[in-house]
Amino acid sequence: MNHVPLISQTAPTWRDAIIQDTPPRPRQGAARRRLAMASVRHWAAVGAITACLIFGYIGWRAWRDNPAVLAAPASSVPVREIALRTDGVLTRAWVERILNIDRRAGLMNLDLAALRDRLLQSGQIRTAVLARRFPDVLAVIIEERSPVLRTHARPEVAADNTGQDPLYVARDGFIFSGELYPDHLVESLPLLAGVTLTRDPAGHGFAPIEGMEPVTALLGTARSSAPALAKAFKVVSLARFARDGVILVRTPEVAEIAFGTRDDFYLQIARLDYILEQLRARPAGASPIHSIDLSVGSRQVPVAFDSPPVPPKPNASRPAPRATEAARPPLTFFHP
Amino acid sequence: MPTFSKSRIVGAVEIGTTKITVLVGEVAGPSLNVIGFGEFPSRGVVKGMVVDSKAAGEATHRAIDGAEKTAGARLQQVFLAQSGAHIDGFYHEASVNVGGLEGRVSQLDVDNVYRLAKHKALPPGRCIVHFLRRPFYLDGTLSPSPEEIRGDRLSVGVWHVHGDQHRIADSVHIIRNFNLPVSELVLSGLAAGNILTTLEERQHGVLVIDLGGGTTDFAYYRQGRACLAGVVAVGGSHLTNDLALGLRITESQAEKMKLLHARATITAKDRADSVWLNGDMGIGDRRFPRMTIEQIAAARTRETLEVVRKKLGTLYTPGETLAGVVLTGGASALPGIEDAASRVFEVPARVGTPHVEVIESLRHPSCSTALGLLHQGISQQHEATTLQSQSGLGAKFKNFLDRIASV
Repeated sequence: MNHVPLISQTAPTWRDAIIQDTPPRPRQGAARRRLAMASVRHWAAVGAITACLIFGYIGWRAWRDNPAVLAAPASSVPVREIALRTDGVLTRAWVERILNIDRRAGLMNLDLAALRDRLLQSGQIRTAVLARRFPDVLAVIIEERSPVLRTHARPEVAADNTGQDPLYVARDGFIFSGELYPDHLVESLPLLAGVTLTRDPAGHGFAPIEGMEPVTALLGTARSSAPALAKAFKVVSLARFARDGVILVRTPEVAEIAFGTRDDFYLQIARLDYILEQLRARPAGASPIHSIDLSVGSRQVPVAFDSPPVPPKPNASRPAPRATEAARPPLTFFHP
Repeated sequence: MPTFSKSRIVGAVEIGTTKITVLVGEVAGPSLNVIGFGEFPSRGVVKGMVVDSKAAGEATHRAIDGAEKTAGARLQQVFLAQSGAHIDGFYHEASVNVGGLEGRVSQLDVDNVYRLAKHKALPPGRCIVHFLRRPFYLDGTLSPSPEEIRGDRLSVGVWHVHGDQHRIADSVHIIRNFNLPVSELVLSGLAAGNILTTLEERQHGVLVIDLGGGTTDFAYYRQGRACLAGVVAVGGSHLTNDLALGLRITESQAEKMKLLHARATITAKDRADSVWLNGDMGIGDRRFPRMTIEQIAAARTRETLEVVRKKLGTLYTPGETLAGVVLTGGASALPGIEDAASRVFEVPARVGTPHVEVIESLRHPSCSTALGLLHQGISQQHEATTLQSQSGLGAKFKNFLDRIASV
């Protein structure tokens, strides 16, 4: 059996003899500052821990009393305002009408994805972003489509089966029924012709129209370089676009102006402006202009005229022209 | 820069008689990086002891502040070097009869004999700074690790390093007043020896002497362990004082003469060979024989080293000190100090350089103690942590099983 000797405590070490737990007594400025900073850090840590404990206790109490409170922590805050930011014409009232939010439901209860889909169903809106701005504001940021042309759907293909409301065509060919556009803007938009609107296979709206990019470029160039001429564009037809790459435009002055999509629109509009100026100098009573074809190239521009009105003669000795001659309009070539 | 990892910032503070040195180390796992250094002329310290707490505190705090600024980090704990004339030591040996199974030494026997060897009352007002355990002897035969070896009687000796409780408290409270805890207290000689000697040198026997300004610390290693350490209250300032008295000049003039012309051994042959006090041929400028200066310096140096040898007593033998004498501290810059030490201790002597990779400015002998303090403090903390883990519930259960097995 091993004998365990009874040994008293060994001699005190410096750790036993010198107590370091006593509070320091700094006598120099640097030491005082250090101690003060240590105290600040200490109490800040104590405060942070205390705050965490208090908030934890409050949260635990709330969870214990009513777990649903934690599940929907902000349900009691109703939507006070819808803040709208748009680059178009739509107003907050329109957005509120489309969203149709129950204000008593509260900000946290809103289904933002469903509300966004509701906005996008109007083709006038290209993109929409909805965000909660706490405590009680729903922020709506939308980007609208800009109409380039207007058109009307036939009653049999129109969604409402009336075909009375105008439809608008955006530069990407998307057709939508716009709202809140001012009248002067609507009247300044040329009518689209020469295409047949077809329903989208998905059943929502119409299929996009091909060839709107050059049309947008043509109208934009005309508005920037010859505004008066652009205002006169009443109808834009894409009847020959698919076959010849030609855009037809009707103005009150000219029944048919053909623009080629291969040449620069700016030069074509400049030639058109020159030709119209030359033709306006003709004497009164001259034949009206039937067509100006700017699509054949830069060397010459064929301009066709309607037959001049023939005054009735009581005793016509000359025989009447043949039917083929009467149908062919007189043709002139301009070399601008 | 310190990061939010598990690294900690420790400082090594040496409050010396002539200067206060602070090193800042970043300890991350087993690695130690020295990241800051601060130094300030010491005030209020005489022979390694604080005599003016306010002046010493201000100087220490400035040194710590400077070190923290260079490191860009705040110290979390401090290792403090301890020196001074109040440090003393004695040897105490204990033996136990081996009571393990089949006469084999158990862990319990080892613990008991070590506890007995440490058990020695101190005079009032004294406290232990270090226990330096010497190797175990089993039936009179050296046994570095006696566990599981058959034998009858296990003995061990411990060198108790103790100091005046109030003196130690003075220096500890200087650090405490800067709102820093002193986590380890290390004798200056042991700190320097830890960094200046290799394990192999300690195995062969080596004596480390730290020649400071007010004190001379020493640590004697044999069989891989520090077996004796102490302090002699004589240092470089005494040599300056001797020169001032012998040449009848002021302390500052004597300090200048010491730095320029003093040697630890006499090499001057011509008595007519003299040196000028100031060298500017102005009023008060005088000539002093070089031989006189060297005689004074050599006598004081030899005397200091002889006091150290006397303190070592019969434990020191040149035959057991094959790695020689390693000198460090500010006074080790005295020319001829190696020759003087060789003559006194009868073994080769050299000025030590740290055996770890540090920048050149920290390789100076005056930084050795602080550098060793960092290493020694960390290793002492590591040992304490290991012991704490061994004294846990699992270790106690294992001891209990061992005792049952021995029965």
